[in-house]
Amino acid sequence: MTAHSTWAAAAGAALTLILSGCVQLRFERDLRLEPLPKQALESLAIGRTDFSTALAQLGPPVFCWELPDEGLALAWGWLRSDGWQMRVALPSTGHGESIYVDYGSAAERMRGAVLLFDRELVLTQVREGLLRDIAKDVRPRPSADHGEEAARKP
Amino acid sequence: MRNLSCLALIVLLLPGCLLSRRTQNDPLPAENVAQLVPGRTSAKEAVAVLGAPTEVVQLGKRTAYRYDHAETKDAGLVLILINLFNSDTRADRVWVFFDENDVLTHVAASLHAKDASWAMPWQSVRAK
Repeated sequence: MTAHSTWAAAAGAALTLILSGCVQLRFERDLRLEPLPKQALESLAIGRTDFSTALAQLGPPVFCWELPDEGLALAWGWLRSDGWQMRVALPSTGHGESIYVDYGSAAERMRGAVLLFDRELVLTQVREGLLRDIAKDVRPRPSADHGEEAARKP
Repeated sequence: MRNLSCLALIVLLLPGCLLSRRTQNDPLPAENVAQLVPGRTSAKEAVAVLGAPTEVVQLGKRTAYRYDHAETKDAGLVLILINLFNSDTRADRVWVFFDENDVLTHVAASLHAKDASWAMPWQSVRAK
């Protein structure tokens, strides 16, 4: 096989994959919910701002979590992601299934702010960043005892 | 010649346009939310007005109910090799907080689901 025919075969295969939609370049932008106004967050005062004021200034949260000692946390989040992906879809042998390979896909990660309140509903802490990471820090994990108890319940 | 080029471009691109709309839960009417009065409305009355909540959170002796309705508008241009997509999701969201006697203490609402827009990825959609 000459170099020319090899090149032609490769180009033909590439063209077939592209024209059949097996190879796609995809730009995707995903906008979810609205970011909090920066001024509203900056106006909060730890130890002074109460629950009512926080709700009035920031609006309804996306999540609400129970904290130890009758405290609670309110979380506001939003997503702004965009990026290019290359998607390759190839038919697999045997069962008519396809194999999808995604390269460079933008992970969907919600950013936001979490406000922590004590039992008197006074602001004790403001955390900003990825909600997933903050939630790991502030939300208590169920103890093993609770887990077993829950498992025994019908 | 220029008209012909435009027509050819439209014929080539139009079949690749995509518009879709997805909703989650029923809309939350502002007039229903306005009926909730902190200090007076009970949890039972709130449920009668707004329906079953999406989520109930136990907060020690307090409880909180979340209501939400989301609308997503997707737009895309699907060409042979290059695909462009935009997805815009906005929501109506209401949280109601009750004390240990199931009396409403706080309510917070924002109704933005109707502001979701169809746009291409290079267009600004957050002017509203």
